Amino acid sequence: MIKRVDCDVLCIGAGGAGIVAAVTAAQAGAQVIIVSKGPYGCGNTRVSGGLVLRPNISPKDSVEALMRDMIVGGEFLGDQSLVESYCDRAHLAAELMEKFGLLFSRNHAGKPAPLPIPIGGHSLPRTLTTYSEGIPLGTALRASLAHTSAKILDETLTIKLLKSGSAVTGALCLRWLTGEILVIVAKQTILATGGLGWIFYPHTSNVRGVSGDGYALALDAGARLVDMEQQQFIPFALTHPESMIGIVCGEPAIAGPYGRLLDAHGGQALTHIRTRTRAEVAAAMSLAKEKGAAGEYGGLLLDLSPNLRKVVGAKMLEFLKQTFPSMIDAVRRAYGEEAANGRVPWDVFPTAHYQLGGVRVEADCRIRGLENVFAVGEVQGGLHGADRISSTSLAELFIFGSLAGEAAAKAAAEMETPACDFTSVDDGCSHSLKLPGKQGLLAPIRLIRKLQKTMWEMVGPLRDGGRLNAALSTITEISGQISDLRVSNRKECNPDLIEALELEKMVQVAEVVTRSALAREESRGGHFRLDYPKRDDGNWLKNIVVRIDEGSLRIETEDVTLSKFGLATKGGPNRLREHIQFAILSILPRSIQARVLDSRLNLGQYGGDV
Amino acid sequence: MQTATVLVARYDPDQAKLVENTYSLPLKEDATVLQVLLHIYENRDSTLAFRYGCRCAKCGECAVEVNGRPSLACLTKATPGMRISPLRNLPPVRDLIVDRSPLDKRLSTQRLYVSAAVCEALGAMRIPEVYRRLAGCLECYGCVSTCSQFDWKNEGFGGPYVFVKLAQLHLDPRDTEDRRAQAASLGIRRCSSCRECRCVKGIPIRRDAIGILLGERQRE
Ligand SMILES: Cc1cc2nc3c(=O)[nH]c(=O)nc-3n(C[C@H](O)[C@H](O)[C@H](O)COP(=O)(O)OP(=O)(O)OC[C@H]3O[C@@H](n4cnc5c(N)ncnc54)[C@H](O)[C@@H]3O)c2cc1C
Ligand code: SF4
Ligand code: SF4
Ligand code: FES
Repeated sequence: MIKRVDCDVLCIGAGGAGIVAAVTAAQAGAQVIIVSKGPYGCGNTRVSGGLVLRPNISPKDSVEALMRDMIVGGEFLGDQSLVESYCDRAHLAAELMEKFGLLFSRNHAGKPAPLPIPIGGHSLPRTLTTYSEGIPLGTALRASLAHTSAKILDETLTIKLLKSGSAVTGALCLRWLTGEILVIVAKQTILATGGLGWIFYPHTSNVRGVSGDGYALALDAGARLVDMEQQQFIPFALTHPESMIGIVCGEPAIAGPYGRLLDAHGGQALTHIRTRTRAEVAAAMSLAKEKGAAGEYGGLLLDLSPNLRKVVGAKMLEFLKQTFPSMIDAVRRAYGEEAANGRVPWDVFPTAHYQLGGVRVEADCRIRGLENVFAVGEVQGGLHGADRISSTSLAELFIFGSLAGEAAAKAAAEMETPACDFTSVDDGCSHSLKLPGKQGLLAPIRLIRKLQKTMWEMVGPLRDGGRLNAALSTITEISGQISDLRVSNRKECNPDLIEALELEKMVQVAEVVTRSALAREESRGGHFRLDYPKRDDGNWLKNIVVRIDEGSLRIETEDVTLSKFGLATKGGPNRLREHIQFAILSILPRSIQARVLDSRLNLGQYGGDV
Repeated sequence: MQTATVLVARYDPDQAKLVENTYSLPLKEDATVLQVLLHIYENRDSTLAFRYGCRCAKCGECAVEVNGRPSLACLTKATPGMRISPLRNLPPVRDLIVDRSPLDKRLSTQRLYVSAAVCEALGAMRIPEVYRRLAGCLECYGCVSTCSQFDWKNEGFGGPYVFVKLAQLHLDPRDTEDRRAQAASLGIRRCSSCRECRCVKGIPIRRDAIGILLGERQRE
């Protein structure tokens, strides 16, 4: 019983990227359907920190300067034409977000208040914040969708992309609440399914549905995935209690100018944390753990208290509470009030945060090698290379979501609805359609948990050949066990079925990540190997590209083209300059320091009640 | 670790009613309601349907009732003997899952988006403090569970979620519609003598949203 619906533009995924694309396409006159596995507007976009790129705050800033920071930050793996396409449109992001209904935090004069200093790999201040992190962004996205004619089919999981020749013609979907199977025939399709952090659960900051479906959908349709070994682990996440493992509690900047990272022996695992990249800090922490210097809960101690002795540190904590209320609440629930005030150290360890690799696209976000299909948001690969500098992702959803939405609407207006052959739909996924009622021995969730544990332990922030090979054999074993799944047969809300469908894709994506990680015999960015601990530009200025060839994965390498910025390019944080700024601040009288900081951090506007 | 009994009231669409299941399971001191649901799902019954996403009170997916009060499963401590049930006042679908769409639809039918002829982006404006508190609303729909006046079939009455959205818009310097008048037409007068609203994350709905729309409080 397969039902068919037609549309001009189909958006798969209703986080930021999918909704922006849908709204843009609908505003351009296209008939749009947007599907999402979870409730719409709820993905990683809503749970994010709400830090948003706004270039040109400083008169010293330019498109070139931003490109340099992204390419240097990405350790030269990024696709420079895609980075250029992003940076050219980067000024649009914050403006578009407010047009969608979001409001950025304002300063005393009522103007959008950027963070006063560069964070997370930027050379200049470029970050706006919101009231309540990513939550109001989720609200704005839902509201803006309500303002268009786009048809929302949420809790609808895409099982397979439909194809005719090299063109994508829509998708086969399962409506979870009703159990109905749907064929959506679309002139243009936009893949916006987000990342894959869930394959590392519980060691992830990502939400439940973000389990990498889009990578598997794209691979299956003939796309290539690039640099999938590049997984960003954000260094600071909670280690306990069990219910909160992996919940993010900050990036390196949170350490402030005087914060320390202590191992179980009281030694400093790393210095100058504030200006280091997420990858550097995560690697140092993993190494410390490997050497047996982690504490009872497997973490290190992030001690913010030295900051409190200085005016700047006290103000910084006030700022954190105001700007990241949910994050600080999480710290309070886990470690108590004194910890939330920075007086007691936080037990922290890295957590899987962002998949840097992804579907290979052209500079206009069309998936390379296929027709009538785009990839936007975290599922896309190539933009961030081997590391992502802060605040760039939420902006990306608007920068590229709008680009793809507009292009898709335009292309759809110039073509006919593609033909769709129902029998071939049935052939391609009869296996998935037969899952309900399958009488095996294993509940899908059991295999999922086994896979997640393996991915974290063997393909996590610390890798080597031995671990990666061990992971591969477990993945193969799990893949074999899939034939013995037990899936209940009911129609509405069948969690077994969702999980069985996810599992198949997770296993494939896990294999892609692991084999890409085995292939890259060096350490770079989000990929840290004990057996090859150094970056090796001589041999590894290469992208790792994966595709399916006659039913099995094929891993290849391609030289990176340094079309605009060569290895000698300088970018990223200027440690000396920042050091001098803090030094100057600290010699001012305390009351003046307090006043300067209140104004620059936008504090004290509303009295104490925030 | 102690062994405890918990009750899960699961909606059965075939019988069109809630069926109570009792589970006895190990309960750690600091366990959350979400962990209990996951424990049942992973070890006892993989047909148990419930929603969750972020595990840290941000996605708004995990709202259920615990002992008759709307709660985020990920934020609420599990206690022996507790009863977990679906949110009331929205159509139940199966187990702990309710249909969110009747409220989703009101975003368009009630124009719960910023209405402005030209939406000037990134301009200078003063944003009231209450706006900042309301901005934390997760759209989890927990609050409608507490409102005896709310009926998903009746668009004539707004209910707590819609009033929170209207208050946000009323406080948004860009919005040009008269949201107080809209709230009045959606029956907010009925709230004058009521104090029942409860938000799963402690947003003072009655004071900060309804109070503002009723004109009991100024914008500040
Ligand atoms: C805790 C956290 C904090 C962050 N903080 C920041 C920050 O401050 N600044 C910043 O720039 N970035 C931040 N990021 C990164 C950023 O939030 C994400 O990269 C971004 O939100 C991804 O958006 P997206 O639209 O691509 O995917 P998501 O928002 O994750 O949405 C994915 C959508 O796809 C759907 N989907 C998945 N599979 C399927 C399928 N098979 N069929 C149908 N639908 C499917 C999901 O249901 C969901 O609707 C953060 C990330 C996390 C996790
Ligand atoms: S105040 Fe009472 S009637 Fe009004 S929305 Fe809240 S619970 Fe419902
Ligand atoms: S007001 Fe509170 S309970 Fe109601 S939807 Fe928002 S977060 Fe949920
Ligand atoms: S799981 Fe996201 S709010 Fe509870």
